[in-house]
Amino acid sequence: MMVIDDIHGQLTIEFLMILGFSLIITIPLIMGISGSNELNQAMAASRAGALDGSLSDGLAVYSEDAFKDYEVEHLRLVNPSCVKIIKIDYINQGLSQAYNKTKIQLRIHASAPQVKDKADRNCLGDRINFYARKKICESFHTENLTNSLFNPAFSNNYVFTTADVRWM
Amino acid sequence: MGNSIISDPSATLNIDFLITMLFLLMITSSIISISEGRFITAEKTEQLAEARSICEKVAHAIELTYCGGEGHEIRIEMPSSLKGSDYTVKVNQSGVLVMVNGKCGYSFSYLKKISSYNNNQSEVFMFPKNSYILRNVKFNNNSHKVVISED
Repeated sequence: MMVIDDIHGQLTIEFLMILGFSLIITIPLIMGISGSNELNQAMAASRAGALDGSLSDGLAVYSEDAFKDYEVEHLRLVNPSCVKIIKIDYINQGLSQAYNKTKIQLRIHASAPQVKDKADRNCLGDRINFYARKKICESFHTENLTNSLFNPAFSNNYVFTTADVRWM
Repeated sequence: MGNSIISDPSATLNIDFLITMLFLLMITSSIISISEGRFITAEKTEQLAEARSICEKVAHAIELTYCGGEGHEIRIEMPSSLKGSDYTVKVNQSGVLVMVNGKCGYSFSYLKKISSYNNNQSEVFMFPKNSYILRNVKFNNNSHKVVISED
């Protein structure tokens, strides 16, 4: 009733102008945000995965195959140790021709002061990377697109690989 | 309340309410998705930590029994499950192995003879819900072994 009674039609023009400007601003903003949001989601998933890996490393509770391997070759890893994730960053490596997606390489920085041996650290790092890639695949439901090591991990517009963990 | 909203000529309340609800839903949904992930991680961690804990507890009890001398006894109660999952503990002369959901954790212990009460096997399995008595028993005149028997 009030809108019909408004003889100047001012409210409607204001409304249309606001709506128009909002749409002009919102549409490109949404397009930009959706890309960033996907990357953000993948980074959050990789952090959760890396945390899973570091916990498994830290508590020295492994899958049966890994355990049997460590029992023979990396006896130090059968004992618990302190493994911390320091930070995770990424490098945008441009468009991957093979997958037609933007290729992102994750670099996880971690610390394990009690584990000195390089081969032992590699084993710990491989597990952290594995869980980070696995979590990304689970987050975007792309487990069926990749191999059993989840390497590379896929999202809708990105393909993720992992560099060797940097120990600090 | 319904009347007051209808009679509001500028509809300010309605728009405010909608915008507030929109932001509230956006924030809530993102918090729920983040917290869900964290809860799953926390549960997994708790299970792994419990597995590690039971492993260390059994290894520690074996050490104490062995160090306590002949006749020293310790009673251990095994938890019914590790965060709802079944588990098995295997003890041999070099340490204690716990297996849960296809994962293994191991605690070393100082080399000593281990045996079950009934048969003289060197590898003893411990199962959930059961209570076990660890006893230091003398054998071959001057040697000792830890006998693990169900209570």
